[in-house]
Amino acid sequence: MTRITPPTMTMSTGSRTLEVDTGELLFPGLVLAFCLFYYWDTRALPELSMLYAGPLLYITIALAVMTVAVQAVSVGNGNDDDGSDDGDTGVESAAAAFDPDTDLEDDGEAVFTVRSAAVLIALTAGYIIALEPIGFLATTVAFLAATLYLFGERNPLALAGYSLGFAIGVWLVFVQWLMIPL
Amino acid sequence: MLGVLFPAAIDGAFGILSSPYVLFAILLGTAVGIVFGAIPGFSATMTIILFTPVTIPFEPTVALIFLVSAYGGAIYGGSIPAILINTPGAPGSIVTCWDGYELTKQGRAIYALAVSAIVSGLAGLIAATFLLVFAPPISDFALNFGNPEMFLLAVFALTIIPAAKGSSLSKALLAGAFGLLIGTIGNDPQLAQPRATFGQTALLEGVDFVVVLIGLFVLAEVFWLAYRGTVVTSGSTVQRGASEVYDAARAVVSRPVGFVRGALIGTFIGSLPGAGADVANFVSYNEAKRWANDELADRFGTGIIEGVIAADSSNNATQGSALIPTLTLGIPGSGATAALLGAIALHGLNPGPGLFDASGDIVYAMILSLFVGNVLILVYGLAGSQYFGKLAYIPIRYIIPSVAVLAVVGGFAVRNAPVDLYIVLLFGLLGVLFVVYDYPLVSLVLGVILGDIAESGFVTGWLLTGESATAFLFNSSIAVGLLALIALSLVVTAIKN
Repeated sequence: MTRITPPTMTMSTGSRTLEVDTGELLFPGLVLAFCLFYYWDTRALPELSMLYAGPLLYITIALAVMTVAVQAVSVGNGNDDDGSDDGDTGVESAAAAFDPDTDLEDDGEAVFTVRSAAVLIALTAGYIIALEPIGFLATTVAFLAATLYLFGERNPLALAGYSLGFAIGVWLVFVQWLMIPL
Repeated sequence: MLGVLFPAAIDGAFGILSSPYVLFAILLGTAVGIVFGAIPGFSATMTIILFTPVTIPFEPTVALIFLVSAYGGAIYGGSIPAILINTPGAPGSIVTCWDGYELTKQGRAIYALAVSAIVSGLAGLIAATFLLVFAPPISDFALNFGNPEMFLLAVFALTIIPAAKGSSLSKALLAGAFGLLIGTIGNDPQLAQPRATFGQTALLEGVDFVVVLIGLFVLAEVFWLAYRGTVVTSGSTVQRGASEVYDAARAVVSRPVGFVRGALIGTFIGSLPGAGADVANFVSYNEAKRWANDELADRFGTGIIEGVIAADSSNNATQGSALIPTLTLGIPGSGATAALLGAIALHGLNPGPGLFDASGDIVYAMILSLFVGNVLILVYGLAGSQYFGKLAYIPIRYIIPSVAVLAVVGGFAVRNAPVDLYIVLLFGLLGVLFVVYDYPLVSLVLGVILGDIAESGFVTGWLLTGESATAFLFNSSIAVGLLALIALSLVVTAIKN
C-alpha cells in the first residue's frame, strides 16, 4: 500500500507555463456551482429575505475565486507543493500521520486501498437509495454482508451471522424502541 | 456556601444530579464512552454523534449528562488500545503509544494503564474546575452582546480557526462562508421565503447541523478508514498485580510537575478553537521532553512513565476547557464540542450566550457531572482497563460496515426525513475532500452551526442601527473589541501563511 495520492493532475495551457491543480478546483468548483443554484433559486425573493444571504452569497463566490487563484493556479516552474502539510494538526491529518503501512504484516492482500474506499462509497450510496423502496432490514443485511466481504471477511457463517445480527439489533433499538419509522 | 459564589441555578443543578436516573446516566455514559473510545477508529466525536439520536426519547438532563460523560470516557478510552496494542483508539491518544506501548512490551501494561487512568481522571478534574470557575463570568459578560455583537462574534469564530490551526486563510474562510450559506437554506427568518430548498419540504426548516456532523465526522471517517485500514497486531502478555497499581499511584505523585504541566497545557489548548485532544497530546509530550534534562529527554519513546503522564494528562484536560466557549458563547471549537452542541439544540435548549440564563440548572448539572465522571474514569480505569482493552481486537472490517449503518440510521433518526440521508452522504464525501485538500472541517461545521446566530444578529442589528454600517460595526465597545480581534486573527493568519 502506498501513501495517499490524491487524484491531482497538473496541466499546462498556453505558451506560458500556467499550471492548474485540478484537484484543488474540486471544492471551490462545488461551492461555485452551489452559489449559482442559490442565486438562481433566490433571484425573485424580496430584498429583506436576502438582506444577509445576498451579501454572504457574493462573499462566498469571491472567496471561492480567491481560493482557486491562490491554491489551484500557479505560474512558472512546476512547484505544486501548496504548503499542504506544515503545521497540520487536525484530527484527520494526525490520523493520517499514523502510518498504516508499518504494521500490516499478516494480510497478504491489501484490503484497505483507495479502490475499496471508492467501492464503500458506492455501496453506501446504493444503500441510501435502496433504503426507502426496499425496506430497512433487507437493505441493511445486504449492505453489511457486501461491505464485510469487501474488507476481507470470507467465512460465510460470520458474514451471514453478523449482518443479520447487527441489522436486527439496530432495527430493535431504532425501530422498535425509539420508534424511528425506518 | 456555594450559593455565595455561584448563581441560584447551581442549587437546581445539585437537585438534578441527585436524581438516580442522572447518576445512572453518568455511570453508564462514562462506561459507554470508555468502551467506544477503546475501539480503534472510534473518536470521542463519533461516540457523541452516534449516541445523540439514541438519547432523543430521554429528558434533556439525562441525555446531555449521558453524552458529556461519554465524551470524557471516550477520550480516556482511546489510550487503552494505545498502551496495549500500539493502536490509538482516537487521534488524541497517538502520543500515548510512544511510551505506553513500550511499557507494555516490557510487561508493564497494567502499570501504564493505571498511570493513564490516574492522570486522565485527575487532569479532567482540574479542567472541570477551570470550567466551573470561568464559565459563569464569561456567560455573564456574553449577556451584554447585542445583535451586531452576535454577528461579529460569529465572524470572529470563523476567522480565528485558521489563526489557531495554521491552515490556509482562503480555504478556511471559504469553508466557513460555505457553511454559513448552507445555514441559510430554508425559510428566511424575516418573511419565511424558501431559499435553496431543492423543493424539499424538510429543508424549509433548514439543514440540521447534527446531520451535517454525522456526514463530516462519522461517514467521512468511515470512508477514510476504508483506505487507511488498521494497525492491530497480535496481543502481548500482560502482567497483573496490585503492586503495579500501587507503583502507578506513586509514579504520578512523585511527578507532580509533569502531571500538572500536562493538565494545564491540555486545558489551554482545549479552550482554543480548532484544537482539541489531538493537538494537546503532541504539544504536551514535546513540552515534557523539552523541560526534561538531557539524560531523560533521550529516553522519551523508550517506555518511560513521564511520556505516558505527558500524553494522558493533556488529552483528558481538553474536555473541560473546550466546553467553556461551547456553553458560554455557543461556539464549539472542536468536532466533539460541536457534536455536544448539536445534542443541546436537539434537546430543545438554545445554545448561545443565553444558555446559562435560560437553562442554568441543566448547564451547571452538566459541568458538575464532569467531576463525578472524571472520578469514574479513574475508578473504571484502575478496575477494568485490561478488560476494556479486549475491544481493541475488534477487526476494522467489522467496524466499517457497522459504523456506516449507524451513520445512515442516525442521520435519518434526527428528524425522520429521507432527504437527510442524502445530506449525510454528501457531507461524507465533502469530509473526505476536506481531509485530502486540507480544508479545516471545523470551519465548515461552525459555519453551519453559527448560521442562525449570524443571520438574526446581522438582520436585526442592521435594521435597529438604522441600516448604517458605521452604527452597526461600532455599536458598542464590545463590537469594536470584536472587530479588533477579527482584524488581529486575519493578520496573524496572513503572516503565518
